[in-house]
This record gives sequence, structure tokens and C-alpha cells, in this order.
Amino acid sequence: MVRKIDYSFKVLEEILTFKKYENREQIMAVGKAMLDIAEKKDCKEEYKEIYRDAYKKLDSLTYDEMKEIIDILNPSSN
Amino acid sequence: MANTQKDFNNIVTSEIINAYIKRMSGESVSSIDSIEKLSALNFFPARYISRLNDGDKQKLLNIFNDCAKQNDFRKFIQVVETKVPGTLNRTLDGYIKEYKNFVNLPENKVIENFTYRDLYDSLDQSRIGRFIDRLFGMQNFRSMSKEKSDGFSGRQISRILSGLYFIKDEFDSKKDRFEHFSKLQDLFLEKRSIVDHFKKKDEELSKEFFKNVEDMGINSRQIQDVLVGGDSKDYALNRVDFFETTSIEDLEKIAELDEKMTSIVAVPFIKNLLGLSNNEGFKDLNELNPRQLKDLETLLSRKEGDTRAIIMDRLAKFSNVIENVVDKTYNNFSDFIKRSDGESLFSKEEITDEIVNALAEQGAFAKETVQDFAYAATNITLNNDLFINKFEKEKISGLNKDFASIDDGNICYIQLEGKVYELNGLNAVESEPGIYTLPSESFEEMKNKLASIYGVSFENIDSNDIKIGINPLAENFLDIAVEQEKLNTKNADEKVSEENQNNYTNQDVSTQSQEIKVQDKTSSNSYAMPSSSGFTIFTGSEVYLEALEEARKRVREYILTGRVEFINKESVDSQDVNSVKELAEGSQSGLESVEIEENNDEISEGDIQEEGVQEEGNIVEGAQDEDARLKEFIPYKRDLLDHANYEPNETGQDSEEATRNEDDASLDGAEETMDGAKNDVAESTQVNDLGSGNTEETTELEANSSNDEGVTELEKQKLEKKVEELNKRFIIGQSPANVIEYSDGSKIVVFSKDGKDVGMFYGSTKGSRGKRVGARDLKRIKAELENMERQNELAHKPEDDGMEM
Repeated sequence: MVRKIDYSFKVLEEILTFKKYENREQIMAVGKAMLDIAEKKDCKEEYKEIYRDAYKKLDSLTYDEMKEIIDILNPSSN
Repeated sequence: MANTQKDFNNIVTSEIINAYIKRMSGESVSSIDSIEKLSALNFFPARYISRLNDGDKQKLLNIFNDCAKQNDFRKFIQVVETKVPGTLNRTLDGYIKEYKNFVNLPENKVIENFTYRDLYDSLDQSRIGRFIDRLFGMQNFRSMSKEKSDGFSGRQISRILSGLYFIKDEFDSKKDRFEHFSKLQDLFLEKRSIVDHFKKKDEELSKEFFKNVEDMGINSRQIQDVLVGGDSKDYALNRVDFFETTSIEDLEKIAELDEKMTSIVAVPFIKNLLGLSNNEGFKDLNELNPRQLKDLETLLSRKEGDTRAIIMDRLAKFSNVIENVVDKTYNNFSDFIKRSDGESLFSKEEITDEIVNALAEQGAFAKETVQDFAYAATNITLNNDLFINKFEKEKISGLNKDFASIDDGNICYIQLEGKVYELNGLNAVESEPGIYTLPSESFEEMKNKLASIYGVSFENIDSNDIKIGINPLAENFLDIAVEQEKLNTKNADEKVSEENQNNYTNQDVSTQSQEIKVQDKTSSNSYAMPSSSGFTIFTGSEVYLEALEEARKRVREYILTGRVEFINKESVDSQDVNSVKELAEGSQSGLESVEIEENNDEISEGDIQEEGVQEEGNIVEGAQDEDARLKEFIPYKRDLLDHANYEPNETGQDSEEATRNEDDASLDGAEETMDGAKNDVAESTQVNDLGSGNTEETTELEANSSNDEGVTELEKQKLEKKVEELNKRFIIGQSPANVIEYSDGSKIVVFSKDGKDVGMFYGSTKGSRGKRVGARDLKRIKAELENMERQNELAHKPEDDGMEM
């Protein structure tokens, strides 16, 4: 059975570990920038959907939650 | 062996059956008018159909046709089992029995404990053929010898593969018990003749096959690697062991490694680790035998974490260094080896190959840290073979078909006004031993050639302005073998003195005579500048050989230069070189890393960080880039779930509550996970520190991050790159996390890093602050995830509508 992979988590991870953030707005700005870049790319619609989904997921998180995840992904970053 | 209807239902989908029937016969479903035809199509092997009485056969056919009209064969299976109890179980039992017979299982042998080695040992060519014959009722497949396989028809092959497709699904559904069966498929597919046949006979069919393979979740590249790997028995045995000891994920890693890094880098590295010379052992990573794999494991066992991840990490780092060294070397060196047509005498691959070989010979790949490796790169000694071989080759083929061979002394390089021109066919003559003379008419000839080739007028020059040399590979041939000598008699005395000091015999050439004399240099180790007015041509085999030696040094010099440039800046004096060397040496006694980044134009103290500093959180931006890049080589191991039903919490949820619940952060297991996660990351990304760089860039980013959008242009560029990388990765298939959402709105996200689950995030829409779930809960929650997945699958299965006969 071929399982569908949700790549949006990968995108989410990339956004969260992109740099050191000081607040939620910074994270969202990067997320939005990545989404915008992806939207402009000449790539499959499914790929763009991944970024949209990632942004949606990102937007659902509080800053504390984002920090938690960042800490999980890269404990030494804080 | 217990087999249930459910098992079979899970296996047989309408797509499979449709595809199966079409492939088998090309007949439409509606033309299936007898159960025997079905059996003839191997939908049910005839021997099992024959066990049914006529009534059951008719029932079966009716069911089949009814379902066929609705194109719903899943229903067919369900109904069959209901209406003709035992049929399918018997059929499936038959398969199992065949399988057991096939592998010649002793009666008391428990199939669950049957290893692939057992399977292989029980096989031989004829048994494979017999297996196919018996399993699919194909009388022509008694032998799977290569010779005979060439005679397979496309249809026959299609039938085999369809059957394998079918069986693969069947056994996948009982993966625990029959995991090794998929390996049988690999073994079968290893018979390259089949695919050769495929390729020869029907490209489209081949494509379809690989598509099917992909659809089955098997990396077709992996199979292709197997298929082209060879077919000797020893090879096959190694292959068997390899499959037995290597997970699919690992295979994919290796395939990925091969693809991303090229065997040029990976193979010497692994060989070096294993103590093999570059000329022995495997040529491809897929040829690693089990012992070698285990050796690798052992070698790296002192490191905690994923062994292969470490390999990947290191290779990625080393590759980066090599790539940069090669780039610099090539860019610099190629200026000296360009031919008149602009083409380089050496390809980048050749330079790379030579550098990598030299590094491998020196054991550089076994270096613990990247800076050690980079340092080793400054000390490599390139083998003359590259140049000798190239020289010989060029001698045969000629640098230019219009020109004579090199060792006739007819290829000359002329430097005028700082530019080097290649000019051949001047026909220098060895007028006396070691002295080559250019006939007087050749001067005009030379000028004409230069003018015609380069479009440059040299009317106003005379021989005093020109130096001619031979052998482009000689060190400093720009300076030595070819010398621009604009100062003719002005500094003649001084130059003659210098010439004498260098043991260099030089012969002035009279401008009036237009004669050029060439001296074969045989004694001096130095290619100090010959100084004279007139032409000087060096040629002859001795010069050639010495030139090679000097060229070797030259390459080394450029590697050194390239390395320094790469780390620091474009030009660097010897003091700087020594400084960097010292830094590299110093790093072995405490400094953890020298920052090495492709785009790192500066090196600063901040680039050399003590480990302790980094642990305090001084992570620079480059580390994340490096990390992201490394992840390309570290596919995640875990099974991935379908997140289709995932719905995120509401936007911007409860930050106040989150703050209120700050104290909840110290929930059970949080600390444990924190530690675990730190350890995991530290273990598996030890070299992450090494790749950190761009401190200044980071600073710049941070400094500029307060623009309107909060994202600087530089960051956007990086994001652009990331998007490109991600888009490529989507094809490969990785996922960092699984998610589980509970009915109360809480959710758990399992994040993976470098192939390992490093932590779980738990949050709730009811406002509790997210927290990490303790590592001890990892297993439990994973089981829960899997259970949910199963339930989800069951929930989406079509219900038996109780279709009546």
C-alpha cells in the first residue's frame, strides 16, 4: 500500500528552523515569504498545496507551540 | 496457516484484477464466460478451480460477471467468500502451500522463522522456473536460465510480473510473516535478462513495470540498481546478504547517496574506511558486501546514533570540501591548460578524480573532522598518472589535428603582452643535441599563424618580444616555458646572471637570423626564468617529464590556494596560508570547527567556535542550511502516515492561556525528552557544527530583518533556495512528523530528525500549553498512531452490501 506523505510538516520544519526568531510575527513572515515564493514557482500544483498546508499549520500554532517545536527540532538553538 | 477472507479482500482490489485480466489476455471482462477462462488467466490457478464442483464454478462465474458489470471486484471477493465458502481460503491456502513447497520447507519448519538465506539456499535456477511454473501455470518457464529467458514473449513476461505484482500485494498484507517474499521478488527481478528483454522488446511495458513497482512503494532505482548489478552467483549471494542486512530505507539512502554525491566521492571514502585501496573491492556502494557493511558499522559504532547518518553527514561535509577545492583548482588550473579553442586539456571530472584519489591515498577521508579533512586537502600529492595519461592521449590524438605531436617540439605556447597563445606546427629542429632551432622562415610563419588564429596583428613585434615554450603542463610555463620578454637587451646582463645562477643554459637568438634555439633542460630542478632576448623553446622528453613533476606541484599549489580561497578570500599570501594551516592544526586540539561554506567569503574568529560556545546556543545560520542539506541524505526511517484528516487548530490560539499555563511546561517527561532530544541531535549531527558559517551573513540578516515584511532580501533568496530543494525532495519522499488529533482537539505531533523520532509535541485547542511528551511514551503513541491508521483504513473500506446471487 502506498501511503500518502504529508510533506507540509517538512516545510513547517524548514520554516521553524530557518533562523532564530524573536516572536511569532517573524516566523509567520518567513512562512508567508516561503509560501509566496512557492506560489510563484513554476511547479506542480500539489507542491504549492504543500506550502499552503504548511502555512495553514503554522498559522494554527501559538508562539509557545512554535518554540516548543523548534526546541524539539534543534534543542541547542535556544 | 490461517488465512481469512479479510486478508484476501485486502489483497485483491479491482484495479489489480482489472490490470491483471487485461495483461493476461487482453480480453474484456465481459468476455469472461467461463470459470475455466478465469483459471486460464490464472485468476485462480486451475488446480484450485478444479477442486470446485460445477455448481460452485457457475456461482463463482456469475458472481464474477455481476461484479464485473459494476467494475467492483472487491465485492466479488467478498461475495465469493460469502456464497461459496472456503473457495478463496482454499485458493490462498494453495498459494501458501505452493510457496512452502517451492522453498522446500521441512514440515516442521515454521515459515515465520524462515530467512531469506534459507530461501536462497533452497533455490536454484530450475527451482525458480518451477516456482513460476507452478504458481502461475506457465509451462514454458521451467528454466529461468538467462539464455532461455531471452525467448520470453512480452506477454509471458507481463504475466510473470503481473503475478509478482499480485503476489507482492498478497504477501505484503502479511508482511510480518512474509517479509522475505518481497526479497524473492528482488531476486527474481535481478535476472537482468528479463528487463533487458523488456527494454529491447517494449519500452512502454518497461515503463509500466517500473511505474507499478513505484506504485507498490518500491524505489525503482533500487531495483534498477539490482538489475544492472550483475548476475554471477557470488554477486547474487552478496546481494542476498545485502538485502537481508539492509533495510529498504537504507537502500534508499544508499541510492540517494549515489545519486547525490556520485560514487567518485562516496566509494573512495567507504573504501578508505574499510582499509581498501581505491583499486580493489567494490565499484559501487551497492556492491558492499555484508561483511563490509558490518565493518562499517563496527568502525562507526563508537559513534552513537544512526551509523549511516553519520556516514552521510561526513560524506556531505567532505563532498562540500572537495567540491570547493575542485572548483578552485579547476578554475585556476584550467587557465593554464586551455587550448587555443578554449577547451580545457583536463576535464573537471579528471581533476576531481585525481584530487579524490590523492585524498583517499592519504587517508583523508577517515579524518574525524572537516577541518582535518580540509587540511589534508592542502597536503595531497597528485599522481602523475593523470598528466602522463593525458599527455600520452593528447600525443596520440593531437591537441589539434592541424598540429604535429607534442614531443616533436611543434606545439608552442607564446606569450605576448601578457597573453598566452598556442601556436603549433613551427617545426623546431634539434639543430644540435638539446638545442632546438626554429628556422628563420618560421618567425614570419609564426606571426601569420598568430594573426590568423587569434586575429591579432604582430607586425610591430620582433623576436625579442616573444618567448616560446613547450609543454603546457610545466610549472609556471607561463613564466618559464613561455616567457614574455619585452625587456630585450636592457636587463640582459642581469638576466644572464640569473640564468647562470639557475644552471640554465640559454642561447640568444639573433633577431636578424630569425633563428630560434631551444635548449633541452636536463639538469636543473628549477624552472627559473630563462632570460635572454630572442626565443627560447624548451622541449624534449626530459623537459616533458620534469614538466610533469612540476605540473604536479602546480596542481598541489592550486589546491592549496583554492582551499585557502575557499575558506577565506580570493587571494592570500603565504602567511595567511600558514595561519589557516595553524588554525586547522589547532582545531585538532580543541577547536571544533573551521567554518566552511560555499559562499563564505570571510573567515573570522567567530567562524572558529569552540564546541562549548555552540552548546550555549551560538548557532549560526549556516548550521541550519547545512543541516537541511544533510537531511537530504538522511531519509526518515519511520513509516509515514496519511495526514489527510489532519486539521490544524484555530489560528492564533490562546496565547494568553498558553502563558497562563506556562507552569505546565514542567510536565512529566518533558525534561527527559529534552535531554533525549538534545542527545539525539548532538549525536547525529555532530558535524552540523562544522558546517556552521556565515556568521556575518546571519548578523546581516538579523540586522535587516526589520523591514516591512520582516524578511530580508537575503533571506528571501535563501528561502527561494529552500523551496527549490524541498520541491526536489518531495519526489523522494520524506516526512518529519506524524500527527494524531484527538476528539477533544488535542493533537500530538511526532517530529523526526535525521531519521529518528526526537520528540513529540502535544497541544490542545482547549488552551493548555503545548508540551513535549516523554520519550517513554513514544512507543505507546506510535502504536496508537498505527492503530488509528488501521482503523482509518477499515473505515474507508466499502461495506459488503450483501449482494445476492
